[in-house]
Amino acid sequence: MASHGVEIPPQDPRLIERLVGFLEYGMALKNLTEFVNSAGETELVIAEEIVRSRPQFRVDPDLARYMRFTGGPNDRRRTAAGTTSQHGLAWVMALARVEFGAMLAGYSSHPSPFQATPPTPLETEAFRALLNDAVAAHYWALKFDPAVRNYPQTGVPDAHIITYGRRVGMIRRMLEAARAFSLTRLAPLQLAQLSAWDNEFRRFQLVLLYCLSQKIGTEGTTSVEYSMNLANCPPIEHALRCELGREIGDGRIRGGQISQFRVRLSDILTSIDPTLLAVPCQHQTFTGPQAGSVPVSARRRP
Amino acid sequence: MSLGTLLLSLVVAAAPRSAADKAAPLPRGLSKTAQVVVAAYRGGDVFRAWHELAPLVPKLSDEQIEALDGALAAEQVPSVGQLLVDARLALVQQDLSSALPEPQIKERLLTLRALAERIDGWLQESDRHPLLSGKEPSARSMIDFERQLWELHVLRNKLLSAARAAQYAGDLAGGVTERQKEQLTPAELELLSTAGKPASDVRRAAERLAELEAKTRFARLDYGLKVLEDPTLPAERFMAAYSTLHDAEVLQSFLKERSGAGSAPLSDEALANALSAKSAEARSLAGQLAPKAKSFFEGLHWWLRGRYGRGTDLGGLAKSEAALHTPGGLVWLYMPAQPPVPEAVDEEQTEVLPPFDRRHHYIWAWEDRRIIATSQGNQLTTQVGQQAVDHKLSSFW
Repeated sequence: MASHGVEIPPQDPRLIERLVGFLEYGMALKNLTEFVNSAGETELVIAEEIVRSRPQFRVDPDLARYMRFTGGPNDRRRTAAGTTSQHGLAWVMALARVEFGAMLAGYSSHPSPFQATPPTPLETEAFRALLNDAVAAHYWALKFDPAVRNYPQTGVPDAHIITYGRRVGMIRRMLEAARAFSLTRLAPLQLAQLSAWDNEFRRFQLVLLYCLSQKIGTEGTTSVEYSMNLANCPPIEHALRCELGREIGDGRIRGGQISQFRVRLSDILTSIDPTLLAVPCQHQTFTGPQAGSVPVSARRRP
Repeated sequence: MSLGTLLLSLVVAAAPRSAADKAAPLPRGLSKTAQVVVAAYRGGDVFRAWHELAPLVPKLSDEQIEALDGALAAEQVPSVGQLLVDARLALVQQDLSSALPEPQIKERLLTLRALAERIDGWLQESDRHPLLSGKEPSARSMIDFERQLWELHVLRNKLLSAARAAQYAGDLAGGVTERQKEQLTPAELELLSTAGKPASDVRRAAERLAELEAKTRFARLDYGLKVLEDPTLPAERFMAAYSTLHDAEVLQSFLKERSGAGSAPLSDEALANALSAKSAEARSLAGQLAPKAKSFFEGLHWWLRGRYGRGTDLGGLAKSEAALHTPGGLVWLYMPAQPPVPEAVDEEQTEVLPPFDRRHHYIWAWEDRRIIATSQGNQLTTQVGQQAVDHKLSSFW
């Protein structure tokens, strides 16, 4: 029986340690959490006073407003209104927690990246606000990104599959955490908005996965077995696990190795979202089970 | 530049425009080199640029280097010489100069010139600093002491870089063979013969600075002890609960080092004993406040490194590979000499300068792997996922 597969090559699992902020915010959170958990009320007031006396600790809680304009200066002015910078220990810690969680979400297989170091009660409100802002910032940035906006019409360039796969995976983990931390605090309308955004992110993720699945091949027979190894890209692996879990059961995925589907993955994905059929992904075409390689230069970019 | 625009510029286009497209025509081989170097530079990878250029430079004529410089300049990328020197200096500053192979004579001379200029700049900055020239008034509060010690810390790091650079310059100059020297101009020979000279100036400046820092710490320790006795100054007291013990620890190491070196007026036994007594007094006065203050101030210290630190790679977002191999490489970061001062944002404001930002807006784009398709043992390589961050980031807020 013929078999076709696709995989993302391994990379050093310690790559995350090279990100500036991973060690630093990790150590900051360790120390500041120790402090908050041991400090009395007076000490917390003093700490707050010290942080507030130093402008380098000022935090802008609404970066999304910079992405939320449609190009006209009036739009921009309107969206900036009502925002003030925040200054205090809670914001300092919350910012570190969001950045640290994002690094885990993008470059590790941690099951709950934003809950890895849960916020202390002091900073829960700030953490929630910064998480929501992070989701919104990425949402609007993607919304106005001309490359991304046209993916359903153009397909996804190969060069974007891993990077945007990581990005949207990270955003959905943020959104998941934002919902978990905000559930009892958000109005139904706000929750509905988060759900609507998540649907858009999921749709985007499906387009990425669909184009990735097209790399396996398009041979039109079920006698071919297909496999994928995505363990080396945790955000994409996680996304696929979430999607396939709904369709074929958890037992089909083992540590990122999705092996030997009799049914093509792209068929599974189009059964989840039939509109994917209209996405013109690049195909890996095989003329037969022993087909030779297709030179990169011979294929057309969408 | 707005963040939205910035984000759009982050991802390398599917078919990036060639460097040579904009510049004067280059021979085909050089055009490809220019493309690789431009991509590496924009990806924040000076070492990849170095690996592309270093083997080539000895084979190129001055005219060819000039043409390559022109192509790079058209893409707003530094010249060949600057790129080579920047890669070596980045390693020298991390004390990893042996990570790159010995330079050929042309690159060696370029590097020596750049090293001499930078060492001179660091020395001048140290000499003219108000704290070292005695023009700075005495500290009157914990905040004053903190600022003074920060400035001394910044200067110390610059002199440390200068010392490494001077050492490296001496090594580079010493590695030129007599046969190579025969081919050099008198100016180039002068450059070689003077390369090691700044080392002693740097050492003297560093010793003077270390002495001043120790004196400042002693003064802060005395001030902190008084503050710890005064319950009416809670914020100052909280700071002193950390600084007194921290200063005592730093000073004990300092005295030990100086004592080992067998010199310096501060290393006498009476002083060491006085320091031990002050340290014990500080511990007693600070009590339970000490570990809390330690966690707090060390937490803030790490946080500032996370927010404002810059690595050597990926436009400052990532550390070099040394982070995975040495403890020093893991911790090493470029830090701004002056604490950044983000403006307060109010409701009327539409633009904030310098802009606030987050690391997670960019880090997802760090990638250089290919997706591999396989068919029963045949490997079909698809197109590349490039290292996609294509912007020199200046700050993180």
